[in-house]
Amino acid sequence: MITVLRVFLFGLFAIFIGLLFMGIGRKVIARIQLRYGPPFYQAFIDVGKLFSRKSITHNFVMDLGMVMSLGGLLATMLFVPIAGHVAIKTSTNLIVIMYLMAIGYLGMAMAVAASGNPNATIGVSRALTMMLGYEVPFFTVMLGLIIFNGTSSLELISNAQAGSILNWNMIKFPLAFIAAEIALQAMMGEKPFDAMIAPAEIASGPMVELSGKYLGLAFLTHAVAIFVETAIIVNLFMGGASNVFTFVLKQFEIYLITVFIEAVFPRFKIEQAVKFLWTVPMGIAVIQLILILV
Amino acid sequence: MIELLFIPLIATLFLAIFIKNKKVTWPLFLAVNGYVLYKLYSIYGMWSLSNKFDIGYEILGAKLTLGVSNNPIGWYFAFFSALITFIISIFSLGFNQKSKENVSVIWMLIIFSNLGIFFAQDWVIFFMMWEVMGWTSFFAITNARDKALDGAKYYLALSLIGASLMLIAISLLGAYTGTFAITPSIFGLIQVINSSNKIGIVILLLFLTTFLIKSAAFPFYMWPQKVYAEGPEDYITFMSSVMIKYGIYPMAIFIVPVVGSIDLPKILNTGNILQYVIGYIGAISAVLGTLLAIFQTDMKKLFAYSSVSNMGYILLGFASMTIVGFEGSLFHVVNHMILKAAIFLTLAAVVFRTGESEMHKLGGLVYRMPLTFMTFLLGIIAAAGIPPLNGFGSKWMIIQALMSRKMVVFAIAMIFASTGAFMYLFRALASIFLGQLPDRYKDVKEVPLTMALPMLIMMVLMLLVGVVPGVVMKPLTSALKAVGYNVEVASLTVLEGSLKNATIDLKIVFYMFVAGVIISAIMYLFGNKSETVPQNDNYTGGEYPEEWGVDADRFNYSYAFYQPFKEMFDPLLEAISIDDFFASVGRNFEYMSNEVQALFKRGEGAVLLFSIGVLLLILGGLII
Repeated sequence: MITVLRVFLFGLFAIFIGLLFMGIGRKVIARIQLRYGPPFYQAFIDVGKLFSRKSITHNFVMDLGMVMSLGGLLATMLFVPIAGHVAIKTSTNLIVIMYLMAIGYLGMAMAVAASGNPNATIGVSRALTMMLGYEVPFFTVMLGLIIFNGTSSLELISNAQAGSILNWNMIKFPLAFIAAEIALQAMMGEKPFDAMIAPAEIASGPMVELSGKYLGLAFLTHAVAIFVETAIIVNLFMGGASNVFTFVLKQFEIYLITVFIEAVFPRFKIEQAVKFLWTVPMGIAVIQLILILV
Repeated sequence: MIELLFIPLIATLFLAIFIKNKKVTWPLFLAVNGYVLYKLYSIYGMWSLSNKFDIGYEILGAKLTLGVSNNPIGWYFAFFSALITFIISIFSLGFNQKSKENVSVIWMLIIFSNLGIFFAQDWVIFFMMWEVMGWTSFFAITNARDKALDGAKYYLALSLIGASLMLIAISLLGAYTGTFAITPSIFGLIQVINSSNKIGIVILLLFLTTFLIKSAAFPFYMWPQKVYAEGPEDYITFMSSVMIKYGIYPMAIFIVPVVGSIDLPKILNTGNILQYVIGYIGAISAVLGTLLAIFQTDMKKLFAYSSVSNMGYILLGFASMTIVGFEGSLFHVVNHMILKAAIFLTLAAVVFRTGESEMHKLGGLVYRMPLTFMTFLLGIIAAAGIPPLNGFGSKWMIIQALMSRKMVVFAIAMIFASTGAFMYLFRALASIFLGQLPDRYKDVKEVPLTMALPMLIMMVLMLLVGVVPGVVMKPLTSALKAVGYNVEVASLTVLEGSLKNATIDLKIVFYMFVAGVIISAIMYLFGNKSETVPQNDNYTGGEYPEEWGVDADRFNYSYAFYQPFKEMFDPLLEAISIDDFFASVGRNFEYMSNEVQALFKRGEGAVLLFSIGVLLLILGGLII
């Protein structure tokens, strides 16, 4: 019973923090662009509104896919240690986390492709291409840290950095951190890596046929994705945290960097993005990997 | 033991007699497969079973024996092959109702050679069965279809090259180690190599090449796509899931023990040269298979290249030369059997109902074939290696092994391949089943019961092995223990990695996934109602097609699905086309044979032939 409660609390917590970040992110971008911007709780209002509206669906795959996408990401979230706490006792294996995350994206892709709108399918094809672009450098970074620590448990890697700030992997392996940051930008689908959304080009790609609660679920999925991805970076590079508040603060720092880059950059074409990801961050990651190995 | 081999052989005869009568052949085929499965199940653990004929004849200084024995790893391969074959043969009952040809006779002969390969006690039996399997598949692929002939010829040519290389290797092995029996020859070969005799390495490489040909690894990766595209779909299912593993089995029992225990120069203290050779072949197969799969438009070709990529993973596991990697590879053999069979069954169902295998001509079939869609969906989730389905556990073990040996290049290649797998798998899903249903397929129906049942079984199997890997890992680890590997028998749901604190409980992963989906479903139910609209009620940029005087038309994005990505890789793929290489070899052969023919025309050929014959006789006398 306690476990069930914990699982629910962790899930709701991730959704809450993710939505909060999204709202603050919009405000920050607005201020950078000299606008006033919506209030920081706007994301909650949006989700509430979307869930209360009527919506359309094309077939059962859309319903199944949307539920699978949020479900997959929430399942991933339950494997990520948050300030040393995990929803359930596991070995917090990094490879499991990376693969579980994919089921969320697969569900989303399936749902939007089932809508029968070609714009959505184009968006998905770009998103998957982008995925191959960022996964490779990001995994190279992880590989370096895994070999250095001799374990693939996220919790152990995070614990190994305890003590002073000088123990943080961010300080010890700055190159890896830079590469991971660039890959993270693509992972979150923020500019300059947002070719899959591209509103002016393919009518927001995957989101084109989503309405009402389907769009609401997509919002929540994005919120949880933000939470999971920033939490992985915090655990890998910033030594986790001793309490939840510090942990969320560190996550927010990571998210802020992403938002700053998002606010000022234009968009890569998809092949430019993949080429960039395979040259710059990949090159940096490989140099770091070689430095770790020798 | 021997009846296990004879029943399929006798069944072949009966099938040949009743070949005209489909109502007899396919049920008989199913029954014999059922018998084989039951028999294999009943001989589990009886590792001393064997039948041996001593014919008291020596060749090349080695005693010639013919024998079959129940060896643990062979049993592991044979049992799971038989399980998949049984399920496919249920499918064949329904699938072959309409077809004119009858592949069951040849197929039964292949099942016979299949068992022979897995239970061979010596290289002579092994080679005989290997040959039977090679030429019979030629007839099974063509199956009276003219357009399949090209692919089948290509396959036959490669098989023959492989078989000749193996014949040379076996003769050399016999001559240098003094035995033809498989297990003693392993120790013999290790001794030959460790006494720094170059010929040992040559023998090993000859064997390796043969096995790589059969498992469609890097330089020989072209045959699956040529063969799978044209062969009869139910047989192709068998071929892609079971037959492609024939190369893996001898690698597991022969190449891996030899390479693991010989003294060769090491690279960066991580592994010896041969290990790296196998690893690079695996890595190139995995990456190249993935890239080529991404660019296919024919669904059967796409999954043919996916098989190449999966063989790459298995080779990578072997290359790590750790027990976790080895177990992972052998586990992946079975996982790949299950998931590839599931996927190809659905493809066969799609071809059965629509007669089309070009993906861009299909679309929206989920409206008509929901069960096939669900099987395909679970199949691709498994193939992508996403928990909680099978395919994840084995990939995870292989990658753990690679990371623990610090083989970073191989680990990155593996991640590249399995992330690229999402691309082609999703493309197949979207193009075949999702999107808008073309009008010409609006009367397509779901498959009949005999074809639906195997799909249901496959779905259960994929989930079962994904959540409770012990059902495969327990027999595997017991088999490995029985042949002398230092392993512990695996528990039901826990997989052991090779790094620190690397234990995953797939049961917990499954529960967490269910928990995530439940939370998500609550959110979904929390929202307001939705209504289902017809498929062409789509966003059209705020305009109504009727106002422009046009009808709403079916439109799917599926032909050049990854065009920008393809343009990045075009120069590379053009540079490494193996087909061009083989074509140039072929041209040279043609040139050479023309020259030889010209010699005959001028009358010098007879002299030449005679002298070659004399030379061969003399050489033969010297060797014997």
